[in-house]
Amino acid sequence: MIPFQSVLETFVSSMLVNNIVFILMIGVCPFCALPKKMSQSLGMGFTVVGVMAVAGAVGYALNRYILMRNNLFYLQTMVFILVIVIIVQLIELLVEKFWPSAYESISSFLPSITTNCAVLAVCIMACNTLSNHNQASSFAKSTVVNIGCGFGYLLAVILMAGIKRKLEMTEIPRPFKGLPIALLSAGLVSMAFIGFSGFTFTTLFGG
Amino acid sequence: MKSDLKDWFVNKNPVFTMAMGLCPAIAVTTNLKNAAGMGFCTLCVLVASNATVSIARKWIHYKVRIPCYLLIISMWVTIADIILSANFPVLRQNLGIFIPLIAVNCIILNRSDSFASKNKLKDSIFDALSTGFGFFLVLAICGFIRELVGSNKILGLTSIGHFQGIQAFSYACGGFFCFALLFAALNAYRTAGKHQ
Repeated sequence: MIPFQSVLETFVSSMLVNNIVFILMIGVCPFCALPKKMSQSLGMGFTVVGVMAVAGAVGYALNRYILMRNNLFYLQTMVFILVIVIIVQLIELLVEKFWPSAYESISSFLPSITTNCAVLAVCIMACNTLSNHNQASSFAKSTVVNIGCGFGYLLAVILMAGIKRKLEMTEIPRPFKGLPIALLSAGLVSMAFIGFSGFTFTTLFGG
Repeated sequence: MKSDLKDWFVNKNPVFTMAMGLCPAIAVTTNLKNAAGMGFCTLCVLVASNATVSIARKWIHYKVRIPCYLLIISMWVTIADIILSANFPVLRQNLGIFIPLIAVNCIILNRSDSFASKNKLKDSIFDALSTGFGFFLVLAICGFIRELVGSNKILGLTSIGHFQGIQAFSYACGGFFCFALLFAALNAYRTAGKHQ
């Protein structure tokens, strides 16, 4: 199996160095419709992590065993979208049945996860960048990358929810109220994330 | 014509009025060429999928409409992707993952769901054209600004002297800043219009 250090490094690199929102700029749109409450943002972040992990794994398997064997690469987008739609639908049904108390808060943002670019992007990236590695390790690695991307998204959601709450209490020039100031602060956070670039454990601890 | 243009850019613009489609808008606008290519691709996919949805609107059941629209849109995206990789491989390489991501662009789904599913073919195509053109304009303007400020170039040609450009504008954060300033400028313009 893959050594622990390499797993950790892959995880950290997909969460911080290549943060899906602030560096790759995928999944920015939902920020503008972020829920006001921190608890709801957290719920949304964790749901995205789950959907990403499951959809990434299912998409990887489908890509590997059906699309690649039959030379149907170009169907990737359609297949992945179907997979995501089905998984989101399944989660909705399961939560409704087994966890009715949480259903109300979850059902408000679940549809938006279907059209969340980040989930589709993670599926596609997991298949395309790792398809030339050997089978077992690359499946494990792509799962680690998926979960790392998911936690990167969660981190971004938490950061933005916190910033939004702070912004509510400050006085902002009128044209900047609402979206512009949120985008500006996202830009500053993204600038800070550039500081992570080139980060590896070898450079940090000398191997 | 002039008032139409203003309408598309200011009052009905999908990015500025609904804050939609921000991810491709921020990500690919590092230079004018990519931005315009992306805008044009989105425009084509938007028109094609709006037309398809409008034709097929009577056969799609209300409860499964979103997956159906997503499938139609992703079909057109796949076709666009194939055409791009055959004819413009460099552009496709530059846009990379953002081509398949057109399929989950909120603007296209929103137009399908709220307009094309209720209106006739001709109206849907016109709506798609105007929305897509607004999106194209925003991308082109932002791409122009970022290329000029970030690397002091216009369409790959150096514009002013030895100025190196502000690097940050070519990175992700530059996209956020550029859009924030555009939004703020538009807000100021709107409120100024109201006071008169």
